[in-house]
Amino acid sequence: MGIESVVPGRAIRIPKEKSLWRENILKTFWAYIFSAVLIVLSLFFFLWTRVSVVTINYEIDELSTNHATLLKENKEVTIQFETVITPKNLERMGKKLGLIYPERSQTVPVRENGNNTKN
Amino acid sequence: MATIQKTKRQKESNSEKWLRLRMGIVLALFLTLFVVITVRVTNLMLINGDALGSYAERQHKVISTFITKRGNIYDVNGLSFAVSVEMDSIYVSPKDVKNPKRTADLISKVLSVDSRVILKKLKSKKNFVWIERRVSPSKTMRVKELKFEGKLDGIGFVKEDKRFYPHRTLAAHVVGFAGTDSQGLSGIEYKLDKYLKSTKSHYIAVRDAKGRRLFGTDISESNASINSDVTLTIDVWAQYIAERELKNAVEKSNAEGGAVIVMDPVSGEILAMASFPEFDPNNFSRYSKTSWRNKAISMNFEPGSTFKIFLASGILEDTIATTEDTFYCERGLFRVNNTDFHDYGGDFGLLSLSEIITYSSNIGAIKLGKKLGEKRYFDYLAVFGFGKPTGIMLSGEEKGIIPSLSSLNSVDFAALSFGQGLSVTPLQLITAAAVIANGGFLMEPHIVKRITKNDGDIVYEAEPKVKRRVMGDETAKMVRDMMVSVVESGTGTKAKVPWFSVAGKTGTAQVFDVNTGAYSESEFIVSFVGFLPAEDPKLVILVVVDSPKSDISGGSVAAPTFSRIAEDTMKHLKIYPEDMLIMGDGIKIKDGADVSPLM
Repeated sequence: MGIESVVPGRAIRIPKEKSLWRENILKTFWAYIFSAVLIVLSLFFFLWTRVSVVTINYEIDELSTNHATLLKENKEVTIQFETVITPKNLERMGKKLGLIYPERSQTVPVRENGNNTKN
Repeated sequence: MATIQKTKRQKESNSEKWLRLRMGIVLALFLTLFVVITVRVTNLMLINGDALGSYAERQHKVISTFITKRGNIYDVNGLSFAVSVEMDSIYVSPKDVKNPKRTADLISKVLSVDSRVILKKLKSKKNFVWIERRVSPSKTMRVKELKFEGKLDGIGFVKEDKRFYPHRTLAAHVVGFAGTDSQGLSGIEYKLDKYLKSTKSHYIAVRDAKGRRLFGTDISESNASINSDVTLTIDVWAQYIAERELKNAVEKSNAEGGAVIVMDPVSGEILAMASFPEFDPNNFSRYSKTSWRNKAISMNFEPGSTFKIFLASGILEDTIATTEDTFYCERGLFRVNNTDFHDYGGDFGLLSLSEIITYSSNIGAIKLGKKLGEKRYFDYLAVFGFGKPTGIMLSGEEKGIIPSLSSLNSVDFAALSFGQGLSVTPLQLITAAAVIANGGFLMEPHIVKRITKNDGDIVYEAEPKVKRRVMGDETAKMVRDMMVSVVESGTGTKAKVPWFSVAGKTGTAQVFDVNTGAYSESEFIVSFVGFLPAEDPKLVILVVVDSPKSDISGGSVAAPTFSRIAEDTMKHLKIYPEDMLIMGDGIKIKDGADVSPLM
């Protein structure tokens, strides 16, 4: 494609003529490279999401274990509390503290909703 | 010029050839690699695929077993009667024990078990032997410390569930107990075992290289049923009051035992069901088997005079007599077919039907029975529900004993008229008495309020169920008035409850001695059945005391117990008479003052 000019006795360097074939090859090459990079990036993105999911799964699993442990502790404390506040225990503790039930004459019930009670 | 161009073309041609060659080499290389990979993939996927797949599965997948805890049992307000708690069980792998003697000594000190027993286990030829199951946390801690210090070889721990009853003896006969392997053995634990029992479910999970289970990777789950919790109609405080007063009555009168039932007559709900002697289901094996028996449903006893209210109901419902009609009571001695019958309350002459009930005249009852007739009396016994189990959700319910009509002679029928010669259970008696409190309707008694699955689904919910109408409202009202007279001026005056009108009936029945074949002169079963407030009954209460020694009448043993139970239970349930509430209306309450009830 370049202009060929020859000066007698002297060789002139002429730029190489790029062939159509070579240009096509290059274009194709860059297209391949671009696609490869795209594929690699997609794979990395996919991998990143998978790793994130697995990491979150581990965190959830740990939190679930903690949750279960706390629930168990809560249940145990509730049972302990219920064991302490059984009517028998309350009466025994009351007696120890010198408490007695009031006589019927010593109590006056009031309506729970307070409808007929002076406020 | 031509030479230069030729050389140039030659060079270009060579370069192109070289490029083609390089590309060819790369292509060949890639093709070779592709072929190699394809061959390898084919080998892995098609030829060895199954074997390798199962190998990978074994590495990544794990079958997990999830065991649900045995369901809980709650009172009506959600307080726990029975729960499952996790405890350690200690086992040994005998072949790993280096010094059995020293290990046995160390463990026996901590567990307070004979070292010889432990040594025998340590020398066993089995691979796995239990040392002790469900050990308390403090003891487990000490054994673990010894193991950590390297003093124990071959000892291991396994987590197991243990049934725990926080209220100990309270409602023990109703709740029952479960065995070592969490299987229900008695009471609700046994009756509703299919709902309560722990269930196993298997699922496949994926694990990572470190063996950690990946959350959310459960691949499959079995269809194992989910266990359920049971809520009873029992109220912890009402139950406590009933048990406390029953225990006092039994101990005070040197009796052998007894039973108390507190029931809501309108719904048929059992608020309390007490039985004595008591036992602790946490250590049930330490008590005698007889103490496990729930007398409230399994005690067949002759009701005695409490039965007269059912006879009177029949008389009034069939309009055979009115409450004012009088009957001659033979001055305390009446002979039927050469058998003498006595009145224990006095030598009565003419008594009205109402007075026969008020003063509990046996002779009056015999005459009423004759008027009603055997057939009608038996019809009434059947419609009141005697002779058949009530169908309550509890194990071991008896049905009572009603003799057949054809086998009766005149003496038997005379005795039947005042509640001797037949047997009923306390539950049957209170259910029948509730008919009078409930305007003539027989309600189905129930003690289970709800069965709820762990996922919240309700499997069963009790609804008040009318079995049948036994008598009219007017008849019920007349019998109720007679029962009020019993408490106001008759044999049950000790059953009075301050501020409330009480209707009730005492019962004192001789116990049939199987050894002598006759009724005992010293053994009695005393009872009192009543309800309050008489005009609008909220509670029906039955007290039965078996063989009291120091006092032998229903009026002096069972009636005062009824009074105390009724007063405290009404207070707990915040049921006050209008007169008392009117007194409270005059009180000025400070802002923010706590006006909650005292119990």
